[in-house]
Amino acid sequence: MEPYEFPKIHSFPPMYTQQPNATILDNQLGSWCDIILSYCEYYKISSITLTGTVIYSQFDDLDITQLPPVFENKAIDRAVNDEFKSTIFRHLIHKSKKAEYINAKSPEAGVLIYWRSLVDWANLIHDFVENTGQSGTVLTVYELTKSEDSGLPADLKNFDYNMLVKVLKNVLIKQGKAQILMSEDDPEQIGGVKIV
Amino acid sequence: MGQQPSTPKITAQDRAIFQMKQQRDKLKQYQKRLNVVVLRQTNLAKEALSKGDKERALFYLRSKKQQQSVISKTYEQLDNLENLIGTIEFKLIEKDVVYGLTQGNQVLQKLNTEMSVDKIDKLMDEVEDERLKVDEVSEILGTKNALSNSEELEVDEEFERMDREINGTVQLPDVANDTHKVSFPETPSTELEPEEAQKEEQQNTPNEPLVA
Repeated sequence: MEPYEFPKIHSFPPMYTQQPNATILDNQLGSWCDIILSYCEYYKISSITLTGTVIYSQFDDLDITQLPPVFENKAIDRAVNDEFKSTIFRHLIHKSKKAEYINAKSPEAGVLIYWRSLVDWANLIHDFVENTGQSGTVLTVYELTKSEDSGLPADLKNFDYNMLVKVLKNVLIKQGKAQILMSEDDPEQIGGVKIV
Repeated sequence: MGQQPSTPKITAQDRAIFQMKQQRDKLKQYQKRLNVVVLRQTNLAKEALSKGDKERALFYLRSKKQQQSVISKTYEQLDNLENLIGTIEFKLIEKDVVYGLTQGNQVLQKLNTEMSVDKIDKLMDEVEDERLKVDEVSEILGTKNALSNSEELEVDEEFERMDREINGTVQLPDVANDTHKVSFPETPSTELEPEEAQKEEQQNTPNEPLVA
């Protein structure tokens, strides 16, 4: 896979220090959010830590430790410091609403990146279940995200469990389209789901 | 906020299927793990052999064979589970079908009781009676509701006239061509005249409808 090509602004040295002027800062944060979203979409990254370490990518043959770091540019020898990173993520979460903490109580657990909205993910899942005639049957999470022989569309292959939980709880259950079953091995985890 | 959309209910059957599917997933994951082990053991055996460690290579191969037989056993179990899941799901659908049939039967029965033969007979008699009364009255008054034959004919004629007025200009040539083609073979059989006269006749006949 070709490495992600960062936009030109990623090689602009002032991007790496927090700007004092409020308007400029707002622009700067907006640019960073765009970079993060397109970076994550390119590598199908669903979750990332506050320091910019990739937690999960849907590409299972991708070595996530070898990806070019998003907050660093070796060519111009610049990197964002941790404090500013948190500010950027806060902007992405509260202002752009394109991300959410995996666990609101412990932000260091990382954030989910919504380069595709939860509603769009929900539609993808719902369409898949409907088009394969599996409406109303119980599906295991494994079947829905991992299994090779359930004919999963590429977009849903290796779907992040944390993301799935959000899609189910925040969208499908609220729409009355899904009911979850807890796993037998771990009552904290969702094991299966019935989608209608 | 108070009105929550009704969520799909999880039935006991759903739970049973879910349990089996979980078992099936576990088997699948187990197979995957064993496959990785087999692959590693093959590599280790090769490595050992290239180093000249024959004993070790044989050990790895033996252990690999064992894993492979376990894998084939898990396939059998997987097959059993899938079969069972399939059977249960099919039975559930059968149950639905039977339920549907019962419902349909009930409706049909209800409809049949509403439409007893006696009732319908009586109803039809009454309708006939009423109709006769209407006819009687009409006759007494000397006016029948229906149009007479000649009136119907007049209506037809007027319709054709109107049809010609509105559509005629376009359709007429087509009609003439058709009659020409159809009448062409018939003419000689009916009239015994010299060929030239026949031709004249044929040329005239198609023109007639045009003039009219």
